[in-house]
Amino acid sequence: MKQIVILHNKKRIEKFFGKNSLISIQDTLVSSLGELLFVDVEDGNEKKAKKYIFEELKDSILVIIGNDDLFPFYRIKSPIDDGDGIILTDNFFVCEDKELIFPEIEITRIPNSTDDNLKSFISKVEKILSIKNVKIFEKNGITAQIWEKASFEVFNKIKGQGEILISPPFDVSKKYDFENFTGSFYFNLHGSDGLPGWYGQRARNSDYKEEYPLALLPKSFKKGIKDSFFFSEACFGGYIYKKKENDSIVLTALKNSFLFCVASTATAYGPLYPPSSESDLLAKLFFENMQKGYRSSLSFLNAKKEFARFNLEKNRYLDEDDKKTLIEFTLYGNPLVEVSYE
Amino acid sequence: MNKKELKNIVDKIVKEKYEEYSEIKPSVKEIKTDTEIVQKKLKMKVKPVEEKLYSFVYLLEKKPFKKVLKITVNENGNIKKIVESR
Repeated sequence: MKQIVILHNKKRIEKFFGKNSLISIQDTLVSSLGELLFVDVEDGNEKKAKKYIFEELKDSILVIIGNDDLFPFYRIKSPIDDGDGIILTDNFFVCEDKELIFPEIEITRIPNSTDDNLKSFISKVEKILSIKNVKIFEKNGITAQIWEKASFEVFNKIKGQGEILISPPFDVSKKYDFENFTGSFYFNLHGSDGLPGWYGQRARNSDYKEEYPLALLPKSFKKGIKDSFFFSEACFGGYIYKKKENDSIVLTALKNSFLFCVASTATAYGPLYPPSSESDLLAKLFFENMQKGYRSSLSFLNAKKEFARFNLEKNRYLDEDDKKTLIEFTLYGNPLVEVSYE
Repeated sequence: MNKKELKNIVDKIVKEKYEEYSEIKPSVKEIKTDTEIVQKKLKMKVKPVEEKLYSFVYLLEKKPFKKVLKITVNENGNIKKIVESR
């Protein structure tokens, strides 16, 4: 088994959760994961920590503890002039290249919400890390109608029984209930940094009145889902910066029913139709790796490497949206989950 | 083709197929195609790209969220890729 390295910032954790809170978090992590190496990355020492990781811990799994308040994301300029300016990424600690597009080490982040206290955060950590092997029977998803064909290309490759809902007509007013559901979720919807929900979009020739129906909210995941995971392509789907639990689907999901998820911290891109590229391609590669039986963090790392290789073989270059896809997609939650499909 | 000619080709596509972006002035950039470091990491070798590539990015600040259309075109005016923000 690989060494698991916990990256934390003691000062920030104790400022947020109070004195000695780090010890409680460390105890929880050790109880859940066994032998661990803790690395305290003080503000200003990030480069030193990265050097240590690449020299001594390259064959490890890195787990960042906390949201941006507790362990800041790295800030990098968006490769595309799309109004994002700066992108938040965890690639800094796992990439040697200056553009931070080629990760070489497995990494995940277990984030808190701004309204978490120590007790609620520890309970979330315990729950997320409680399971390492999952049997999956089902799948589900939601896509904007305009990307229906592109989404089917991804969804059809995901193992399991289930359907992808199309928005419109699907929206939050419709029933989205599950009963004892353990499965893979795939979302191909719109999102924004300032909004909690994700939106559909009608196709250009569609008769539906609503152009951008609200398709999913943090509260959409009610009872009935357990030990599941999702990949979301929504712009800012993984933008959890200064978010309360109810303001983010990722944060609510990790609290309630999901062991891990992949989502983007910034504007994400994809094609209107197959073949899959950008976010669609990364999603497809991620699910393929999960289906090979690899753990979540290895599947995520492999997907990014295969994404870079695929595009270089096909196009002989990586353009700005390829690079942005590699920078912005982030794994949150349990890095060790292996899935078997029934 | 010069940039103005390329812009005319891209603008025509936007007007025909992506009308909501047609009033937007795109940001135009030459794409850097050097991937030496990534190739080295992947232990692979690809033939360098000899043609120049340009991206045309249309940013539409629309409620409830911004939308982005990006069109990649080569120096001969061939469209290489069209993507939209999610």
